[in-house]
Amino acid sequence: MAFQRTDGSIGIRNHVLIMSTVACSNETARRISFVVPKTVFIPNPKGCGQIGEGMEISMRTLVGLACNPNVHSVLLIGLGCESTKSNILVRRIREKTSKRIEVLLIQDEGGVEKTTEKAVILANDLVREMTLENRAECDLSQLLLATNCGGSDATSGLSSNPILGKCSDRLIEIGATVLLGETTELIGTEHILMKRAKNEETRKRLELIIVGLENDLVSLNINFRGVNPGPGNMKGGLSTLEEKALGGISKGGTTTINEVIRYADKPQEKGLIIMDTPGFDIESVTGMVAGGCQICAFTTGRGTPIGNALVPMIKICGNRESIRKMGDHIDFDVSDCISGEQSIEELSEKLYNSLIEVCEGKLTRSEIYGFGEISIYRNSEIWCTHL
Amino acid sequence: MKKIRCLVMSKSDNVATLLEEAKLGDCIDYLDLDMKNQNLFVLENVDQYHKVAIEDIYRNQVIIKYGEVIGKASTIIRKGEWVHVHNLNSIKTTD
Repeated sequence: MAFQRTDGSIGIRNHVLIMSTVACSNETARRISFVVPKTVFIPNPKGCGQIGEGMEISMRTLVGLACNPNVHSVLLIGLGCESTKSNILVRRIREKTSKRIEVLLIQDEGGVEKTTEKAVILANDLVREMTLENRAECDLSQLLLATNCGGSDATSGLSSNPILGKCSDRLIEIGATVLLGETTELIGTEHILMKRAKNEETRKRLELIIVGLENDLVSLNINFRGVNPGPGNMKGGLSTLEEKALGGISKGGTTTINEVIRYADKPQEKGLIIMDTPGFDIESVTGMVAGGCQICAFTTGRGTPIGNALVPMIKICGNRESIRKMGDHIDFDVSDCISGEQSIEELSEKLYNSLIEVCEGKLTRSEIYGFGEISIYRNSEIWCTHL
Repeated sequence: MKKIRCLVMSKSDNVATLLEEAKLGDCIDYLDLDMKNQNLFVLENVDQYHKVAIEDIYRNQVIIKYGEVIGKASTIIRKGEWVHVHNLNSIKTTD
């Protein structure tokens, strides 16, 4: 049961999104969201002073976030003179979705107070419309699952990742889509992934992003030997880069890789998709959510409390010690697989059911905490380098 | 004699990953290619989450975990021996 959208996609949440187009309008937008509690707020740490590819990645991500199927409607708050031009944003969003988009610019409206007054009235109207929508029987094959691992340890590759991998396979079997990313963590497995590529073009793109990144790191004199796996990883049982990376990619399952896409792009294919994202978790998940993922499965060994503003993030952990010490943000405990009390198969069956429950409305711990981290990946900037 | 639990991630693996610490002489058991129970004795102390060879491995032979190559043996490894950075080299991060 989910929210059927007019373009055929399904939302498993129904958010009224207040999004700031530039850092200068963040505080105004934040205040509006505070006054209208049933809204979700996404600030923009930049939106200006960006050039070239960095600007395009930003725009593409903002458009993608607004278009995400979990979003019912959008209220954009901007300043008026920023690089992230709201009319271009709206045009690009309109090309992809017919949901309601409202825009208010502080300079046009005449200041903070007038903007806030108008925005609160608009936001309340959007919320009223949102509450009228009901869930209906939906096609699960419209689901896109974002996968990520963070705070990994020795248990990640032995329990949480393989267990999530079985769920990924199962979702792909029913026609849904699973995204695997964090290109830094794919280094060491490119020969395996390339063999699983659907066609020559996909194979070449895999090589381009993984080997390309590795070559970039080498040319910057960043050498992996002794660094990845690091001393902590080795103490925890990981002997080689290949072994560590294999533990990571197991969360994507075993099926054919159908497409390789850019950060924040929407996949054109179904099944297993590789998105080129950085290793930093919050940026990586943000990119996948901008690409249309409605739900995120996040494996962790050491624990991390992050959430996402638009999608529920299910935390999966196989380290009983971590859960005992700081398990308040863990949704799914797979440590029974390490202790032998349950098998990988049994736990993946339960995780799958848990995923469906979350799709149907059950809140994750990070949602209950109200944590909604968003971070847009930025290409390196050129300023302030000469001193 | 304590039975040590381990995980063999795929049928073609030639190493098992220990789920608990093992001492010299402990027995580990696992399921082989035909889903039959096999056991072997650990030839030295091995820490939790570290690997043990489940068959004899020759120098330069590939080590398989998750059904994939994780590196090459740098020396001969006997069934039951600890497999780690001292006898296993990455193929990826070697010149």
